[in-house]
Formats: sequence, structure tokens, C-alpha cells
Amino acid sequence: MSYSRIVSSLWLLVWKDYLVDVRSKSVLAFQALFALSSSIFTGYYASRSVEPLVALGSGIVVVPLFLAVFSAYASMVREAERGTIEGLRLLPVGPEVVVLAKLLYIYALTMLQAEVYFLFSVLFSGYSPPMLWVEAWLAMFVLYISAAAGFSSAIVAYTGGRALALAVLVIVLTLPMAQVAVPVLSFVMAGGLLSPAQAYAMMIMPLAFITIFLILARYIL
Amino acid sequence: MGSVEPIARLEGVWKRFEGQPSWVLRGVSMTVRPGELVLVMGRNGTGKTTLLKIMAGLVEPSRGRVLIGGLQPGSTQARMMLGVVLHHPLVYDELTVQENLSYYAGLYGVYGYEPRRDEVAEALGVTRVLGARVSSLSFGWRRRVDIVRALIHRPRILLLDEPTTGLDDDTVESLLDMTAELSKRGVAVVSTSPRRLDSALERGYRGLEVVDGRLEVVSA
Repeated sequence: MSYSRIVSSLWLLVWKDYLVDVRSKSVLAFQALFALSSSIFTGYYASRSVEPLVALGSGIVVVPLFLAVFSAYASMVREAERGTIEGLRLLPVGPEVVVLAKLLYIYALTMLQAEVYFLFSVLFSGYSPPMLWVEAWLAMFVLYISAAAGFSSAIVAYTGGRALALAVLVIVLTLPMAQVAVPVLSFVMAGGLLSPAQAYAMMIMPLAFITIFLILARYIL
Repeated sequence: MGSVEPIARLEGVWKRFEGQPSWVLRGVSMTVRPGELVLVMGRNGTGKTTLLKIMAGLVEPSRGRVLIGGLQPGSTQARMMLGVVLHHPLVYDELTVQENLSYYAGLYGVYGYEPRRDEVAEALGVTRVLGARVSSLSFGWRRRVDIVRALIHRPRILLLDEPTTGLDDDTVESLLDMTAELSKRGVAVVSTSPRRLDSALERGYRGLEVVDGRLEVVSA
């Protein structure tokens, strides 16, 4: 398949998910409400905490995790519930393209909502962490959890499992990344500069997970 | 006709689902040639849909082999040869009919697709509801849209799972006429039905029935 065909297929698959979400409204509205209300809680707690870094840092790890689960549910599990996943399986574009499109959509949606959460929680807390570094951290962390959520939702869709399994799988799969990312976040928020090894670890983990996901796409879609 | 290469070939296909004690299909063999019309009949639960899904590459057979145009049904090239209409329409409720068709056309590499110039869409009346959201349509209309979707890339073999469900008598007749027309253009059609469809057999469908997991000839 040509490169332009892959790009146009990715675009169509993402565009369709976007239209479905925008028109069904409830998923996006729920996520926006969740992100905003969480940011108010985090901001308020951080503004009164003796350790605002810990308050902001714990929120920025946990809230995007939930947002990724919601996004993955909306994108992948819904297809299985409605039966339209068989339409995806029949497409002549290959399961890797379908999975990559789902991943891109989950990432874009989760990142957008995580940004809303992060920026508002910083605003409400009155505390200013080193934004550029935290943004870079967030981009990599959300990429990983989007891949984990996408992979988990594909497994749930494939096995016909319950939605609860999705949340459990995402949390379990996020643990290896959390063990790398949480110390890095603490370090960055305290004003430290990332070492090449830390930056490499933050980048390699999501990319490795995405690669595994794409290799397994043929078996789980 | 006999010398023409089959577009679909099933060789000794057996299927048993995991955890189920009995076989759904027991050594089913069948060839479908270009332009051939095949009606697979049988009561509910006899394995008609499983047979169709195996041909579509959606379900793996436990034993045996399936070839579509000489290729594995899951391959990209074979998917381009297949048009599949399942029991539930594969269209999205939140999108309009036009958006659904454009979406699938793009993914099948049919660029510049215009539903108003699609004779299948015209014949089934789908051009009248292009602007409607699928969620606002009845099951019968969704089914029509789904048939147009399945034919959007001009497949060489059309698989229809109980296509008459939810359709009124006139639309069933239009659908059968349309499949007969497709057959003249070399498109093979394999359709399932839970009951004997005399109007299909009159139009030249080869009648088969799934009995105890095996295919029996009803009319040649």
C-alpha cells in the first residue's frame, strides 16, 4: 500500500471517530467535565498544600490515566459493542493502519483533555512549575498511556471482556512507565534538568509499546 | 461456466467454537464461480452466518481451507474482492448516509465517489436519504445503505447475511433483481436465508441448505 494511501486512510479513520464523538456529545462533554472539575480539586489542594509539587505531580499522573481509559473506550470498545468493528476488520488497509489511527485519535483526545486539566490546575494552584519540561514529560507520558489504553481496549474488544477489565489492564500496563516517569516528573518539577538517559527512557518506552501494539495488531483486531 | 476459475473455494471446512462441544460446520466444500448466485438456507443456528464469516475472513475455520480469488480471505487483495453485508449494518449512527459512504469509499480507495451517480444507491432509493443521519433511519433503510456500502468498491463476490431481514416485499424484489443484474456483470453473490426464498431460486440462485453442519443441494 502506498504512503499516500496509508495517510489518507489514517485521516479518514480519525475523522470518523472525531465526527462520531462530536455528534454523540456525551463522551466529550463527560471528559471535559472530568478534566475541569479535577483541575479545580487539584488546584485548590495544591494552593493549600505545603508541598504543591506533590499535589500537582500526583494529579498529572492519575488524571490523564483516566482520560486515556475514557478515550480508548469511546474509540475502540464502542466499535465492538456496536458491531462496527467487523467493518474495520474487513477494510483492505490492514489492521496496523486501523490500530495506528485509533492510537492517534486516543492520543489527540487524551492530550487535549490532559492539557486542559494541567493548565487549569496550574492556574488554580497559583504555582508555576517549569512548563516546558512538564509539557514535554506530559506529551511522552500521555503517548505511553494512550498506547496502553488502546492496546487494552483492543484486547477487551477481541475477547469480549467487560469494560472494567479495560481500566484494570491500563493501570497494570502503565506501572512500568510510571516507575520511570514519576521520578522524572518529580525531578523536573523541582527545577532539575533532564539527563540524556532520563529523556531517552521517557521516549523509548512509549515507542516500544506502540511498536509491540502494531506487531500484535494482526492478532487482536 | 465449468472451465471458469472459481472466485471462492471452500475445501473441507470444519468449525467448532471454543468451549462448544459440537461442530457448527462439518467438512463443508463449495466452489462459487464468477457471476454465480448461491442461496444458503437453513434454520437459525445451523451455521449459515459462520460459513459466510469464514468466507469473509472474519472467522477462522478449525480445519480446512478457504480461498477468495486464490488468496487467503484475510489478505488485503482478497478484501478488495469481497463485499460483505452482515446481519447488523456496518454503518455509523452519528454520521449521515453520505458521510458513511464517503468514508468507506475513501478507505477502499474509491476516490471521487458520488452516491448520486451510483446505480446501486439509485436502485435501492438510498440517494433520497443521503443527508439523513443513519440514527434517524429505520432498520430497513440502514440495511439498504449497508448494501450500497458493501458494493462501493465493485467487489467480485458479494456475501449477504440474511439480506431480506427488515426489508419490505418490494425492496426484497429490487434487491434480488439487483443481484441478478450484478451476476450478469460477473459478480458472484452468496446469500443466506433462514427460509426458502422461491423468488431467489426463480432468478437462478443455486439453492443449498445447511443440515447438521453439512451442505445439501436443494436446487442446482
